[in-house]
Amino acid sequence: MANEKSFQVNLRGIIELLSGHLYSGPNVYIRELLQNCVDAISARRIAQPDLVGEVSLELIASNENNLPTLIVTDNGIGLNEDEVHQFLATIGQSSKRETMDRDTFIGQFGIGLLSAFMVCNEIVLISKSAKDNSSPVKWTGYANGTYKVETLDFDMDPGSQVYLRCKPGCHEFFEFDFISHCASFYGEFLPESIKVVEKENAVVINKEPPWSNLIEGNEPDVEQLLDWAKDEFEISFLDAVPIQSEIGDVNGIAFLMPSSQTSGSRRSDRVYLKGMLVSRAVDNLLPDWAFFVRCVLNAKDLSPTASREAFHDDQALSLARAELGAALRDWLVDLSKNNSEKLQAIISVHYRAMKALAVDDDEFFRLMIDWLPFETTLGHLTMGEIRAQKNEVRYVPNIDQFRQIAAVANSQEICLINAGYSFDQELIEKMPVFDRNISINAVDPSELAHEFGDLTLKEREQATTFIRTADAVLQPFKCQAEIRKFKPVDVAALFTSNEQSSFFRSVEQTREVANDLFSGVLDGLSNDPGLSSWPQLCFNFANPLIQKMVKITDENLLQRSIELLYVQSLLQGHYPLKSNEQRVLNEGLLNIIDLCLEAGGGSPDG
Amino acid sequence: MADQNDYEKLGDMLTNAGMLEHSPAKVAMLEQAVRFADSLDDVEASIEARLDLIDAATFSGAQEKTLVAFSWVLGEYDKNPDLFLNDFDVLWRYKWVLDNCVKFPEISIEKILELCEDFKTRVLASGFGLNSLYDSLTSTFAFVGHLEKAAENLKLWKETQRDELSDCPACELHTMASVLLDLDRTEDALTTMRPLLANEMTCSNKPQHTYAMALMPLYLNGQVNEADKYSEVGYEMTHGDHQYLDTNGDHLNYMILRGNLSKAIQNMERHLPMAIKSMIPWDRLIYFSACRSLLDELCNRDQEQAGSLRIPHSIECVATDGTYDPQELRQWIDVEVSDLCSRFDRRNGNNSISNQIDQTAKLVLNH
Repeated sequence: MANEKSFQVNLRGIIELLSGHLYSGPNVYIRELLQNCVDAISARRIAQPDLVGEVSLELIASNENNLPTLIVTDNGIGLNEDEVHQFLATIGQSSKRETMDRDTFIGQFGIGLLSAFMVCNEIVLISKSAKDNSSPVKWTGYANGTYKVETLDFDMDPGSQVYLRCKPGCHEFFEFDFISHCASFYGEFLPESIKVVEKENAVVINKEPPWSNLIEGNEPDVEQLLDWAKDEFEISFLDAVPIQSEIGDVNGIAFLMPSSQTSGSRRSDRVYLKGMLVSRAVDNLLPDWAFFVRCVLNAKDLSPTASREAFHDDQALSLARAELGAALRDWLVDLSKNNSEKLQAIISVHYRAMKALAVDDDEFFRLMIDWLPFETTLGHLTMGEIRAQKNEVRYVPNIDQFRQIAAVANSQEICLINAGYSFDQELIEKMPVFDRNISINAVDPSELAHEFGDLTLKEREQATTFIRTADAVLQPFKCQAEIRKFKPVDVAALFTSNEQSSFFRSVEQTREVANDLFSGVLDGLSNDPGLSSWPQLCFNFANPLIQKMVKITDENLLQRSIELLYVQSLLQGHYPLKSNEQRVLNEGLLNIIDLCLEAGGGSPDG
Repeated sequence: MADQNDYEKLGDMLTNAGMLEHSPAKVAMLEQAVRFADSLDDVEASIEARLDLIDAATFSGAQEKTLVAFSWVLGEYDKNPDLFLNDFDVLWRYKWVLDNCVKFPEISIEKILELCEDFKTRVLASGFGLNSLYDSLTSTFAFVGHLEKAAENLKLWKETQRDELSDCPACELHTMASVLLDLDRTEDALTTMRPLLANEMTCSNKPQHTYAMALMPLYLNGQVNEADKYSEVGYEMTHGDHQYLDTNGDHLNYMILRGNLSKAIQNMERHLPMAIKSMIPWDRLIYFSACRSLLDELCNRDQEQAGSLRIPHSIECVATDGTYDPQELRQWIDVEVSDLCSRFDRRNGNNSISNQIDQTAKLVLNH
């Protein structure tokens, strides 16, 4: 058998590491002490179900060298001498984890007590076990890693007392206000009575938790909850919805945000574990799509991380998250059946979150899709309103493309949805889930021209020269020419491009300023065989100016006019100009001034 | 020319875009901001807007826009380096450009190596080391199937010291594991991946990428339960997200392999529209080839189910009421896949990509 040895560990180093780096700050030491008290009381309650738990944190001013002492007292199960040796001397060992029923303990890691070394150099524990009649024990632990144990010859009631003498430089952590603030922050909703005392000043920090009357399945007092939430968060929430999950035994309230939240905002829920605050910024207990609520929840059966300031992302958490999400979803569905006015008010603020949910959740999609609003060429309409017109959904995949044609499509009374926003396109593509007979079409703006009125044969004949010239003129600009009749008649020409041709254009533009090395890269991009389409300029035969242009016989004049009209339609659509287009604009304008002066005769008398 | 109101408006546009998660919508907002900044005739404003666009495009599956915007930025940087707060902003994004060029088969290897040389010059001039350069060279050579060069550069990479330009430790591990897989050193690759799979090291997109990359190697190594777990957890993290199109393709392949067909159908219905819109040839290839395998699997089992998927109407063979012939659809996808494979093979000068695609398809369908 090999000679087994243990690692010699620098205990002091470990204490520093844990106390300095595990927790978010020294404030946590109060929580750890409270945790130990609460756990001890739970343990004692197993044998004594009627026990009324009491915890006190008493500040004693010092008489020498101005270092105050904090005494934390509980009437819990206490420790006998053996237990003190066993549990207080081993980091990570915990009486709570191994011997006792796991469900009654929230503290699982014996590291808790070490947190006190962040603010003191010496911890004294005096404890009397409630299990037997053994003498009380005194344990003294030092920051250098040593400890001593003594039995005491006086008796005391079962429970424990922890004495912490402030170490120099840590006075702020031993002030009455600080201690009562921390105790409240972490423990105001704990079931045991917690009192903070300094001389005659005694404050009980307990408050009624907001989830207390939800447990019996009663109707919640929404007004009261909203008032509470207003004080706590300084936000006037729209509504308070009870939600719960059997997995993890989670119970609490989802508060509806009053203004829309973007999908990028981080979740920030306030979650407690058996009444003790875990964190005010828990981000993994609700699904991502629930970004329109802020939750306050109490869990009884989820696993915290070692620092107890977050939850382990384990299967239980994942299942609890799904269940809580389902509770929220069911509430929305319920509203759709019983209170559509309220639902509409909520949707008008939070439709983005609902769209996110609908994309992933088929049932929610089916129930909600008709209520959800979309931007269309005929104004903001719900899907229900869109479908009421025709069982057909047509959309433009990109915001810019949509804007190109919105005015014209509106005049033609063509209903197109702007599907450039998050989730919109996915929702539209999902419509067949709802209705097998519905027809879905992505509209390429450059193909929209096909829907415009065709010219008659005679009109085509009239326009032959014009169109031939236009083709030739636009070729170097890599743009196609088309001619149609459409409303509004004051639009002379409409420039449209789809996503690919827009991208192609951006490559062309950048090539003008890129260095040689990168021009080569851009060549590679624009040589993608899929990039075959050019943007399109559709002239409007119904427009008076075009009517005049069609009759121009001077080839030069016609070319110049078409070039300028091309540039004008780019400007109209807010497209930045390439350098050859800029040149056309500059020269063209100068030419026009020239022409006007010539036509005007050059002198006031004609 | 531009006044205070214009700058405020630009500021608002950038702030609003910044509040969105990386997505096509965010990219669209930033493209609008770039156009607006350009109209102000203020180079600094144009630079600022483009840097934001580059960041969003890179992580929203729109890396073609990254390349274009970066070309512009680098052009400005060379003309006016003083307009930039530091070299780092440009060099860090240059890394993204290097890493993404391989995904476009019309960009030749010579061109990519030229870019690496240029990057090297700039990096050395700015006082950084070559760790990040060798990282890019290693993964580039591995991607294009030049394995000897990949192994050479892997050695150089490990020998050079990390600095601020190096990828984060999680990304480095992932890239190394990926290269080891290409070099057929599966055991080593799995060992390297372990901290990522165990969540001991994470970053914004790891272990998302790693979970997917590990599926086939784990499966082939007999660690099927583990692979199943990562398939579930990983897909939950990446589905619906535009930056993970190829990753979702890997997941689709695994779902088919494991006979998890209802999940596979869900995957395909969700992401096929994205693949059609994507302008990244590599992502299209991975995703389309997985779809082809799913169609094959469904056709073998159940013709009816193969013909009743929700397929975007933008594909020619799909009628306006959504109906289609599964054979025609399969044919359409096959043409896309073959075309992409030959483009990549031509650029790489070998069959490594088409072999990889074929092998995966065989494996996935012969379970």
